[in-house]
Amino acid sequence: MKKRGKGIAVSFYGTGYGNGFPDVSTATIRLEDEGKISISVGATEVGQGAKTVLSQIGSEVLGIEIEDIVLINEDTSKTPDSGTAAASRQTYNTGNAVKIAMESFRKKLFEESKELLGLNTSIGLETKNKEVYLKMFPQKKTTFKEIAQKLKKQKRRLEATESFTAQTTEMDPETGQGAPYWPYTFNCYGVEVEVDTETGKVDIIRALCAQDVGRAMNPTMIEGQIDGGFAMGAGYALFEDLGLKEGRIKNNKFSKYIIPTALDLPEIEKFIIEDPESTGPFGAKGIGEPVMIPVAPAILNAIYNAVGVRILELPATPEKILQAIKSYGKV
Amino acid sequence: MGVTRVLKAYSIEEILDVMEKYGEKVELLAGGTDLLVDIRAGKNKGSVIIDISDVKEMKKIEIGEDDIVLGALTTFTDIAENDYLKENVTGLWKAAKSVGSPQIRNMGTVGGNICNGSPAADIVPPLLVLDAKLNIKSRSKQRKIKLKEFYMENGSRNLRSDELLYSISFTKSRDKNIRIGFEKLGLRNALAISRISCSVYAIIGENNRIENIRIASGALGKYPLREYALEKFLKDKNLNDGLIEEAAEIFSHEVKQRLSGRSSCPYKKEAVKGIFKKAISFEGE
Amino acid sequence: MINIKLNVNGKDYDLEIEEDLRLIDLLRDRLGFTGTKEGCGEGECGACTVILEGKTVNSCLLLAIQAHGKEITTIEGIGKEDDLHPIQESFLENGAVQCGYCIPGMVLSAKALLDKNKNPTRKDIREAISGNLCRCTGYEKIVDSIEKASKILQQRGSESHEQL
Repeated sequence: MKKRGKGIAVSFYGTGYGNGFPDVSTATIRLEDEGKISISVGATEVGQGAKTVLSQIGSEVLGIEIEDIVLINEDTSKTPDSGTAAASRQTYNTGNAVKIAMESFRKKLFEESKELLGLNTSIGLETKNKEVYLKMFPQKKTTFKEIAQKLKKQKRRLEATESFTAQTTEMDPETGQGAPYWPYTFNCYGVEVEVDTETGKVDIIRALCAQDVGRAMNPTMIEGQIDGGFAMGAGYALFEDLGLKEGRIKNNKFSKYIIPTALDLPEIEKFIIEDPESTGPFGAKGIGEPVMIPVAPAILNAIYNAVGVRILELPATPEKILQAIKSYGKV
Repeated sequence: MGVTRVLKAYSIEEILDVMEKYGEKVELLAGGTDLLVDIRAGKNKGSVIIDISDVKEMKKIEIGEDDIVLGALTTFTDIAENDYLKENVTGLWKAAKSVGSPQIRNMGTVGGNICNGSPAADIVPPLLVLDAKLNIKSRSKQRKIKLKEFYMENGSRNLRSDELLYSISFTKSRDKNIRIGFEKLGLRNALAISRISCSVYAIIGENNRIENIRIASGALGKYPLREYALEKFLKDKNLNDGLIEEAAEIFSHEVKQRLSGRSSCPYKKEAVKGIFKKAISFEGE
Repeated sequence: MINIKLNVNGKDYDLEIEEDLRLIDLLRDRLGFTGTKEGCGEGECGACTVILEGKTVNSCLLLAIQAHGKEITTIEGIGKEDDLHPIQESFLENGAVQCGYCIPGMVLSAKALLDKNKNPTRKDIREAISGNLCRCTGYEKIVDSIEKASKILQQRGSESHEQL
């Protein structure tokens, strides 16, 4: 017999290193010869979309197309340190560093433009389409390329380097009190499962994921992160087991370490909740890890709702579920 | 062991020649889905590999007047894409479709699945309930044995090192009351090795009387097995929910004795009931 | 050493190879088609998927000799960087690519599906990529992309039909 059940779970997660640990990202912005803008950051792209988001943030500040940004990363001989691609911190931390550095760069760009345009002050200058123009008299303008050419002749470079440090405080070792992280990301996931009461097999038939993101820098990539987090969480809940025996991993290959296939996951309904974070770049927060956190508890709650058993050890294999059903389940 | 030679054959005659020449050193490469893993791990049993994957005369599905013949190199995809088998030999079709993944089904063969002799071989239980015969040839003789006589108690197979399994045949039945079911329990919905599988062949007559029945299981013993005790219990009874429940308990008891002492026993003796019930309810037919 | 002839991405090759060379090693090391990825080496992950005579296979589970006289398509034969196949375009457009390791195999599984089934359901698509493991994407954007690519290909098909 197949029984259905629903479960929800909520989580909040502090992003960044936290607990008073120095959490620093540095970015360098430079005007390149042809008028393109380079962003150098030591942020590693592992598929999460750091390169895209950091380019987006940079282009947004300067009002240029993302194609006019040259992103240089993953080369420690060329880039400043932006910390690890970990702790869901790159969008927030390095994003902030890029934003501040780009703002600083813009000021320098305006100073150069002032000289080139023979103005008394840089007040009222703006950028658009790789041009710097005077808002009150737009015919008064120069291009990034012209500025770059002038600088090249003078053998000068225009660049700005800035750092961002996330605010965290150490917890009191005696009382455990403190504010170890900032910011926090929130989410709530709901799943519906079907439990086969005769074999203990679980199928996830529906999933709804509501994710607070601060500000959605790139909704498609956020959805992709939610999908991926859900898949990892589902594998964690139902399949994945390293099988540690005396310090060795028994399930050390894909035929034994079971992860979900496309046929093991439901269609995932996603809800992106925007509530801009005042300290984030354009209000954005990190979501990389948070997206997988509520998955396992939501699934376990749904199993409980379906057959009345509480699985307290992961993965919730058919064996464990069937054994629990036989001993005390409500079927 | 290392591979010393790889030869390619294009006909049964060529295969038999090489087998005769190299004897026990020979290992046949059909789909390769298991053998390539073995070679890489140095676990291949023979050092002379004969690639038989292009022997066309062993790659066929023949729906004849009285018999259905599957060439030993018929792939799981060939079976899964065959409309006749889907309609009329549903359990076999379901088993083929449940194998591994599209890539594995495109390469893996029926003959390989039988000869490799894994207890979890998906295609074997439905062939057991179809009472399939294996057509075997060597340079010196040709013989036909029943699949149920192929796996030997000592773990070996009823096949000499100079013999080739070239096709599998079973009776084509015209009886409208025949039902053929298959059910498998894997750890996930694709790329899953059977933890338990079960196939049922039944002729259900008037008043749901079970006129004939054959049942086979996978992953419940050293090799896929016919479940004779269960067949005996069910034959000539009227198929209903109560009877299925009773039969499931008998099956469970059988599995408990068979797997006694194994860590998988407590689970399999319970889960086998559910798998059997699904197989005999002919779901997806 | 043995001689084999095969056609990869429309080009004929006549090669002398070690007898126990796997197809994936032939493609990557001898012919330089490094878009074919090795993941597990045992047919469980699908990263090494190529199309052999119209059907997807795990190139880690074939000896090169099995491809003698046959046609193979690798990811390099699907589209070029400045002339992508609609499936590749769709993967890019719809955010299907995260770390990217599984993607060549995914695209080839999608190609083999759409060559046979012009209008697949989402279930058909999930079935077709069920032998390709992905750790990043949760598959959904990949399924979306293949579904959208099928619509684009159908539309192109009917347009070219109209031109006739």
